[in-house]
Amino acid sequence: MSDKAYESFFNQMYDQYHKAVYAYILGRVSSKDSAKELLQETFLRIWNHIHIGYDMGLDKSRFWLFKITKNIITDYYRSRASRLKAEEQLKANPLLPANSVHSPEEAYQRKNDMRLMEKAINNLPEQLRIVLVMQVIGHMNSTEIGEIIEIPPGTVRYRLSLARKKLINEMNSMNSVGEEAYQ
Amino acid sequence: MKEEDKIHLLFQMEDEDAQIDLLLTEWSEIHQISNSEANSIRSAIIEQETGLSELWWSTLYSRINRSISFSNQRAEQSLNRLSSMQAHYINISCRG
Repeated sequence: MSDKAYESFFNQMYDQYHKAVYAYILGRVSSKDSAKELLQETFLRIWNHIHIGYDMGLDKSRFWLFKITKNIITDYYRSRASRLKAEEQLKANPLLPANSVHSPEEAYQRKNDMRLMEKAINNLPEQLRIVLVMQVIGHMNSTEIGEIIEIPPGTVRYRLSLARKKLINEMNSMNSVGEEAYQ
Repeated sequence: MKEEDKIHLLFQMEDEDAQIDLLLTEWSEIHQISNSEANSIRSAIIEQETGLSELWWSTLYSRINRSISFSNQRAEQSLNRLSSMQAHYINISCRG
Protein backbone atom coordinates (compact mmCIF):
# COMPACT_ATOMS: atom_id res chain seq x y z
CA MET A 1 0.00 0.00 0.00
CA SER A 2 1.32 3.48 -0.87
CA ASP A 3 2.21 6.13 1.70
CA LYS A 4 -0.36 8.43 0.07
CA ALA A 5 -3.16 5.94 0.73
CA TYR A 6 -2.16 5.65 4.39
CA GLU A 7 -1.87 9.40 4.77
CA SER A 8 -5.27 9.94 3.21
CA PHE A 9 -6.77 7.29 5.54
CA PHE A 10 -5.11 8.99 8.53
CA ASN A 11 -6.63 12.33 7.48
CA GLN A 12 -10.07 10.76 7.17
CA MET A 13 -9.73 9.24 10.64
CA TYR A 14 -8.55 12.54 12.07
CA ASP A 15 -11.36 14.56 10.45
CA GLN A 16 -14.01 12.11 11.55
CA TYR A 17 -12.93 11.36 15.11
CA HIS A 18 -10.64 14.05 16.51
CA LYS A 19 -13.50 15.98 18.17
CA ALA A 20 -14.90 12.86 19.82
CA VAL A 21 -11.46 11.77 21.02
CA TYR A 22 -10.73 15.26 22.32
CA ALA A 23 -14.10 15.35 24.16
CA TYR A 24 -13.44 11.96 25.73
CA ILE A 25 -9.96 13.02 26.87
CA LEU A 26 -11.24 16.36 28.20
CA GLY A 27 -13.90 14.48 30.17
CA ARG A 28 -11.16 12.38 31.75
CA VAL A 29 -8.44 14.96 32.40
CA SER A 30 -10.49 18.19 32.78
CA SER A 31 -7.84 20.46 31.27
CA LYS A 32 -7.84 21.82 27.74
CA ASP A 33 -4.04 21.97 27.44
CA SER A 34 -3.57 18.40 28.66
CA ALA A 35 -6.42 17.23 26.41
CA LYS A 36 -4.70 18.78 23.37
CA GLU A 37 -1.36 17.18 24.30
CA LEU A 38 -2.99 13.77 24.72
CA LEU A 39 -4.95 14.18 21.49
CA GLN A 40 -1.64 14.69 19.68
CA GLU A 41 -0.07 11.70 21.43
CA THR A 42 -3.06 9.50 20.54
CA PHE A 43 -3.02 10.37 16.86
CA LEU A 44 0.77 10.10 16.74
CA ARG A 45 0.44 6.51 17.92
CA ILE A 46 -2.30 5.97 15.31
CA TRP A 47 -0.03 7.43 12.61
CA ASN A 48 2.78 5.08 13.59
CA HIS A 49 0.50 2.07 13.23
CA ILE A 50 -1.82 3.39 10.54
CA HIS A 51 -1.60 0.15 8.51
CA ILE A 52 -3.58 -1.60 11.29
CA GLY A 53 -6.43 0.93 11.13
CA TYR A 54 -6.33 0.91 7.33
CA ASP A 55 -6.91 -2.84 7.28
CA MET A 56 -9.87 -2.45 9.68
CA GLY A 57 -11.59 0.32 7.70
CA LEU A 58 -12.84 3.69 8.95
CA ASP A 59 -15.87 2.50 10.90
CA LYS A 60 -14.28 -0.38 12.80
CA SER A 61 -11.05 1.49 13.42
CA ARG A 62 -12.78 3.86 15.86
CA PHE A 63 -12.90 1.11 18.50
CA TRP A 64 -9.17 0.62 18.03
CA LEU A 65 -8.71 4.41 18.20
CA PHE A 66 -10.54 4.68 21.51
CA LYS A 67 -8.67 1.71 22.92
CA ILE A 68 -5.44 3.57 22.18
CA THR A 69 -6.91 6.75 23.70
CA LYS A 70 -7.75 4.89 26.92
CA ASN A 71 -4.21 3.45 27.08
CA ILE A 72 -2.70 6.90 26.55
CA ILE A 73 -4.80 8.33 29.40
CA THR A 74 -3.80 5.43 31.66
CA ASP A 75 -0.14 6.13 30.89
CA TYR A 76 -0.77 9.82 31.58
CA TYR A 77 -2.23 9.11 35.01
CA ARG A 78 0.60 6.71 35.81
CA SER A 79 3.02 9.56 35.52
CA ARG A 80 3.14 11.34 38.85
CA ALA A 81 4.33 14.57 37.31
CA SER A 82 1.38 14.67 34.93
CA ARG A 83 -1.04 14.01 37.76
CA LEU A 84 0.32 16.91 39.79
CA LYS A 85 0.16 19.17 36.75
CA ALA A 86 -3.48 18.19 36.17
CA GLU A 87 -4.33 18.96 39.80
CA GLU A 88 -2.76 22.41 39.51
CA GLN A 89 -4.70 23.07 36.31
CA LEU A 90 -7.94 21.98 37.97
CA LYS A 91 -7.40 24.60 40.66
CA ALA A 92 -6.61 27.36 38.17
CA ASN A 93 -9.30 29.58 36.69
CA PRO A 94 -10.12 29.08 33.00
CA LEU A 95 -8.99 31.73 30.57
CA LEU A 96 -12.08 33.41 29.26
CA PRO A 97 -12.30 35.08 25.86
CA ALA A 98 -13.44 38.71 26.03
CA ASN A 99 -16.02 38.55 23.22
CA SER A 100 -19.75 39.33 23.58
CA VAL A 101 -19.22 41.14 26.88
CA HIS A 102 -20.47 44.70 27.02
CA SER A 103 -19.89 46.01 30.51
CA PRO A 104 -17.51 45.36 33.42
CA GLU A 105 -20.45 44.02 35.46
CA GLU A 106 -21.37 41.57 32.71
CA ALA A 107 -17.75 40.56 32.34
CA TYR A 108 -17.50 39.95 36.07
CA GLN A 109 -20.76 38.00 36.14
CA ARG A 110 -19.73 35.91 33.14
CA LYS A 111 -16.32 35.15 34.56
CA ASN A 112 -17.86 34.22 37.87
CA ASP A 113 -20.49 31.97 36.23
CA MET A 114 -17.83 30.19 34.20
CA ARG A 115 -15.58 29.79 37.24
CA LEU A 116 -18.46 28.17 39.13
CA MET A 117 -19.37 26.05 36.11
CA GLU A 118 -15.78 24.88 35.74
CA LYS A 119 -15.68 23.97 39.41
CA ALA A 120 -19.05 22.20 39.27
CA ILE A 121 -18.02 20.15 36.21
CA ASN A 122 -14.68 19.22 37.81
CA ASN A 123 -16.52 18.16 40.98
CA LEU A 124 -18.72 15.71 39.06
CA PRO A 125 -17.82 12.04 39.47
CA GLU A 126 -15.67 10.99 36.50
CA GLN A 127 -18.28 8.66 34.98
CA LEU A 128 -20.82 11.52 34.86
CA ARG A 129 -18.29 14.10 33.67
CA ILE A 130 -17.15 11.94 30.73
CA VAL A 131 -20.63 11.50 29.26
CA LEU A 132 -21.52 15.15 29.78
CA VAL A 133 -18.33 16.44 28.11
CA MET A 134 -18.68 13.97 25.25
CA GLN A 135 -22.19 15.32 24.68
CA VAL A 136 -21.47 19.04 24.92
CA ILE A 137 -17.97 19.14 23.40
CA GLY A 138 -18.06 16.07 21.15
CA HIS A 139 -21.71 16.64 20.08
CA MET A 140 -22.29 12.89 20.37
CA ASN A 141 -25.60 11.18 21.09
CA SER A 142 -26.16 8.55 23.78
CA THR A 143 -25.68 5.64 21.34
CA GLU A 144 -22.35 6.97 20.09
CA ILE A 145 -21.13 7.70 23.62
CA GLY A 146 -22.27 4.27 24.79
CA GLU A 147 -20.40 2.50 21.99
CA ILE A 148 -17.17 4.24 22.93
CA ILE A 149 -17.29 3.83 26.69
CA GLU A 150 -18.97 0.45 26.40
CA ILE A 151 -22.23 1.04 28.28
CA PRO A 152 -25.86 0.85 27.05
CA PRO A 153 -27.38 4.08 25.62
CA GLY A 154 -30.00 4.03 28.39
CA THR A 155 -27.27 4.19 31.02
CA VAL A 156 -25.68 7.08 29.14
CA ARG A 157 -28.99 8.97 29.20
CA TYR A 158 -29.41 8.26 32.91
CA ARG A 159 -25.88 9.51 33.63
CA LEU A 160 -26.47 12.62 31.52
CA SER A 161 -29.60 13.48 33.42
CA LEU A 162 -27.86 12.81 36.76
CA ALA A 163 -24.92 14.99 35.70
CA ARG A 164 -27.25 17.89 34.89
CA LYS A 165 -29.10 17.54 38.19
CA LYS A 166 -25.82 17.50 40.08
CA LEU A 167 -24.60 20.54 38.16
CA ILE A 168 -27.79 22.48 39.00
CA ASN A 169 -27.53 21.55 42.69
CA GLU A 170 -23.84 22.37 42.83
CA MET A 171 -24.32 25.72 41.06
CA ASN A 172 -27.23 26.61 43.37
CA SER A 173 -25.26 25.74 46.48
CA MET A 174 -22.16 27.62 45.30
CA ASN A 175 -24.28 30.65 44.40
CA SER A 176 -25.99 30.67 47.80
CA VAL A 177 -22.62 30.39 49.57
CA GLY A 178 -21.41 33.34 47.46
CA GLU A 179 -24.49 35.41 48.30
CA GLU A 180 -24.16 34.67 52.02
CA ALA A 181 -20.54 35.74 51.96
CA TYR A 182 -21.52 38.94 50.14
CA GLN A 183 -24.24 39.87 52.70
CA MET B 1 -48.56 20.13 47.30
CA LYS B 2 -50.83 22.89 46.03
CA GLU B 3 -51.41 23.25 42.31
CA GLU B 4 -49.79 26.71 42.20
CA ASP B 5 -46.74 25.38 44.08
CA LYS B 6 -46.42 22.59 41.52
CA ILE B 7 -46.56 25.12 38.67
CA HIS B 8 -44.03 27.34 40.44
CA LEU B 9 -41.70 24.34 40.88
CA LEU B 10 -42.12 23.37 37.23
CA PHE B 11 -41.24 26.89 36.10
CA GLN B 12 -38.26 26.92 38.43
CA MET B 13 -37.04 23.58 37.01
CA GLU B 14 -37.48 24.80 33.43
CA ASP B 15 -35.64 27.98 34.27
CA GLU B 16 -32.77 26.05 35.88
CA ASP B 17 -32.62 23.72 32.87
CA ALA B 18 -32.45 26.64 30.46
CA GLN B 19 -29.77 28.31 32.59
CA ILE B 20 -27.65 25.18 32.74
CA ASP B 21 -28.00 24.76 28.96
CA LEU B 22 -26.80 28.31 28.45
CA LEU B 23 -23.84 27.88 30.79
CA LEU B 24 -22.91 24.51 29.26
CA THR B 25 -22.99 26.05 25.78
CA GLU B 26 -20.73 28.87 26.94
CA TRP B 27 -18.42 26.43 28.76
CA SER B 28 -18.19 24.23 25.66
CA GLU B 29 -17.30 27.25 23.49
CA ILE B 30 -14.36 28.00 25.77
CA HIS B 31 -13.15 24.39 25.91
CA GLN B 32 -13.86 23.43 22.29
CA ILE B 33 -10.87 22.60 20.13
CA SER B 34 -10.76 25.12 17.28
CA ASN B 35 -10.16 24.13 13.65
CA SER B 36 -6.78 25.86 13.64
CA GLU B 37 -5.72 24.05 16.85
CA ALA B 38 -6.84 20.73 15.39
CA ASN B 39 -5.03 21.39 12.11
CA SER B 40 -1.79 22.38 13.80
CA ILE B 41 -1.90 19.16 15.86
CA ARG B 42 -2.44 17.16 12.65
CA SER B 43 0.50 18.91 10.93
CA ALA B 44 2.73 18.39 13.95
CA ILE B 45 2.02 14.65 13.81
CA ILE B 46 2.56 14.25 10.09
CA GLU B 47 5.68 16.43 10.00
CA GLN B 48 7.35 14.95 13.07
CA GLU B 49 10.42 13.04 11.94
CA THR B 50 10.02 10.52 14.74
CA GLY B 51 6.42 10.07 13.80
CA LEU B 52 7.12 8.79 10.29
CA SER B 53 5.57 5.40 9.76
CA GLU B 54 7.54 2.18 9.54
CA LEU B 55 6.36 1.92 5.96
CA TRP B 56 7.86 5.33 5.15
CA TRP B 57 11.23 4.22 6.52
CA SER B 58 11.12 0.81 4.78
CA THR B 59 10.31 2.52 1.44
CA LEU B 60 13.25 4.87 1.97
CA TYR B 61 15.62 2.00 2.86
CA SER B 62 14.51 -0.08 -0.12
CA ARG B 63 15.07 2.94 -2.42
CA ILE B 64 18.55 3.45 -0.96
CA ASN B 65 19.31 -0.28 -1.29
CA ARG B 66 18.11 -0.29 -4.89
CA SER B 67 20.29 2.67 -5.73
CA ILE B 68 23.32 1.12 -3.95
CA SER B 69 22.87 -2.18 -5.79
CA PHE B 70 22.44 -0.31 -9.10
CA SER B 71 25.68 1.64 -8.40
CA ASN B 72 27.44 -1.61 -7.50
CA GLN B 73 26.32 -3.19 -10.77
CA ARG B 74 27.55 -0.15 -12.73
CA ALA B 75 30.86 -0.20 -10.88
CA GLU B 76 31.27 -3.94 -11.55
CA GLN B 77 30.49 -3.45 -15.25
CA SER B 78 33.04 -0.60 -15.44
CA LEU B 79 35.65 -2.75 -13.71
CA ASN B 80 34.98 -5.61 -16.11
CA ARG B 81 35.26 -3.27 -19.07
CA LEU B 82 38.48 -1.81 -17.67
CA SER B 83 40.04 -5.22 -17.08
CA SER B 84 39.05 -6.43 -20.55
CA MET B 85 40.53 -3.23 -22.05
CA GLN B 86 43.65 -3.78 -19.95
CA ALA B 87 43.92 -7.37 -21.20
CA HIS B 88 43.39 -6.17 -24.75
CA TYR B 89 46.19 -3.57 -24.51
CA ILE B 90 48.55 -6.05 -22.80
CA ASN B 91 47.83 -8.44 -25.65
CA ILE B 92 48.55 -5.77 -28.26
CA SER B 93 51.72 -4.61 -26.52
CA CYS B 94 52.93 -8.21 -26.22
CA ARG B 95 52.37 -8.78 -29.93
CA GLY B 96 54.04 -5.47 -30.71
